[in-house]
Amino acid sequence: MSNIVSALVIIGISLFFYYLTTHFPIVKGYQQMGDAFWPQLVLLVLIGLSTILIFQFLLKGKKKGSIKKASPEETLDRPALLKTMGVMLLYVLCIPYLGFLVSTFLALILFSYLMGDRKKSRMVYFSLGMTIATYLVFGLLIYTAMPRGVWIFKSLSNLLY
Amino acid sequence: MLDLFLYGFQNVLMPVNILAMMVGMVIGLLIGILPGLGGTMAVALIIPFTFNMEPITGILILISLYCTSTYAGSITAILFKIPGEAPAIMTILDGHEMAKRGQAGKALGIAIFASTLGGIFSTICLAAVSLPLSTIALEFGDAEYFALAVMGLSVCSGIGGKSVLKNVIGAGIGLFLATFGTSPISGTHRFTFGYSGLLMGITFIPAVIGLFAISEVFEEIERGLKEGQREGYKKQEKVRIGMPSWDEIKYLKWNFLRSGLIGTIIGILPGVGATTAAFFGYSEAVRWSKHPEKFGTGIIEGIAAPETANNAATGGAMVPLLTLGIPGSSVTAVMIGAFLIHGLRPGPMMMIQQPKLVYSIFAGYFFSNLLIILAGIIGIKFVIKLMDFPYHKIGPAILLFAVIGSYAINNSMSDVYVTLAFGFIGYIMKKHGFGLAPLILGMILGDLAEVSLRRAMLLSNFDPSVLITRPISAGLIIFAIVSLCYPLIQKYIFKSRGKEKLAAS
Repeated sequence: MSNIVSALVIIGISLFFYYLTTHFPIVKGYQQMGDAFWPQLVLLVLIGLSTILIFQFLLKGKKKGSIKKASPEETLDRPALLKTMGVMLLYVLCIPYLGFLVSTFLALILFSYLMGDRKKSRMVYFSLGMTIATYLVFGLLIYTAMPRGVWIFKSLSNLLY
Repeated sequence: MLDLFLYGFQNVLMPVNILAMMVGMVIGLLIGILPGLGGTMAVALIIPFTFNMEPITGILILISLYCTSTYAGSITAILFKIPGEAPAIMTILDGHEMAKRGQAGKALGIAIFASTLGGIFSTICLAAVSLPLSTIALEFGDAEYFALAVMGLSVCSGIGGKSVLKNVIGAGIGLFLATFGTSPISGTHRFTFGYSGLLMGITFIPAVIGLFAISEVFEEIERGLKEGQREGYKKQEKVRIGMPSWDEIKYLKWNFLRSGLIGTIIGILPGVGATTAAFFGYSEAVRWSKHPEKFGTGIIEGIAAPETANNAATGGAMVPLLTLGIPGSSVTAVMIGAFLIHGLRPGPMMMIQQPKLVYSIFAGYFFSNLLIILAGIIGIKFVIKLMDFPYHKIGPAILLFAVIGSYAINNSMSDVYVTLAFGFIGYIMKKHGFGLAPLILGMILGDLAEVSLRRAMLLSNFDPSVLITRPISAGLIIFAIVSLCYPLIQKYIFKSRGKEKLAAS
């Protein structure tokens, strides 16, 4: 079943992007085999292959008499995964606002907790250590201009680095 | 010529030059390990420091840095699935699987040995046949580059996941993603959605970090962590050095030779460098293997091939630089600056006017590649301990490195967003049985395929026969078609023989 879903998603996305390629400007001198040529070729191939994937799945199902029921899933820790994905998304979105150091310090504590650490002091020391180490290597050694954030976080970042 | 070789070795073995190579080695090791820092950037940063040095001393630092950083990317690739350098991407596929089985030391040892061997192989080619080899660079036009891309893509069905169709779809997705950004021919913005971060296209390294490292962390968490430890990970074996045994070296000899040759030739071609060489080394190892289905499960061939090829490309990239004055890679393009600063002009006359310097460079390459062994031995014992840390420390560190490594490439949050997006894409793709290696393959070769095809058509007045009338191009395309069809023909023959035997019995 996941084959059909993934094939349909690929076909849908490919059709959408194919539509976008029809609006590419035609550059003088490149009317033939212009900028839309290669993406359109690749997208058409993707649509064709995804269609074959659907037929392949349907034919296999017919041969075996019925669509095979999905086997019971092994025990998966989906809640922890979703929380980690959420924290990761939040972390990346917060960096421009809270600054790199503050958001990293907080995010590492949350990641450690989500991945099984329960000792508060260890989480804090690890997070502090990693944040400082990252700043020393990337900020001081190779002069990476880390995001400083906005408002008071910018002032805090300016104090620190 | 022999006296020039002897002079070169003597020159390089002077204390100040040995020190220069050691400094280059240490910097290269750090640059290679830390994701987001590239050899090109490091060479550019170090060049001004070489201004007051003797020309050979300054160049030796850069050569040593280049060779070591190309190898060192495999360390984080094997341990954490984050390629420290782009050429180490293919090493992830088998290197990390070996690390999961508690064989990280062995994987790292094979990477050291293969890198050293590949570098020395290309150095020998550089010293012995650089002038004839340089003619290869001149014979390669757009049709040949396109044929090379086709040849590379032809192996996509065999790498990645179990489903051939899904592997090809994955490669197609990679080819499509490579079209994002500014069109290389006419400058039109494609699929940028008005966002300046996409003008340069989808940055490659952040995409790879997201696809491999972040998606892997997501999978580990989903599988469940028992007391902060991963399921299925074995404690690292206590290995002193981890170098391949003599039997393993004999087993890998054809792999080393083939990958060394591929890396050297790919390195010679301007516009394609160590990353493409690593990919072709890996894909040809799959194609010629008796057990192609084992690639990606943690076998030594899967490490030996890309590592030999990517370091062989470092020497290959010097061939057109020294003989024609054309850089063979982005790093050698920056190195031209180092030559010019010291009043040297790389090109055909350099070997005639400055033979002692040229042979010193050859000797420098030789010793720099030997220094990789030292770099690896120093690094292995320390870094391998990291694998035994609890996952509630390793996992967050990987995510942090993924973010800062992506950011550090261009000091841009756009790359971090790309990394995160590809982390989700990689997770979803793996869930649905799509391999990640074909996608990477498509992204690596997409630009090359499109640009070379369109340019070949433009220059030939849209005559497609140019792809099959030029001998090198025709040969590569025929080879690609045959190797694509051969597994299917073989399957058909086996099936027919199986039916015949059944009927006979």
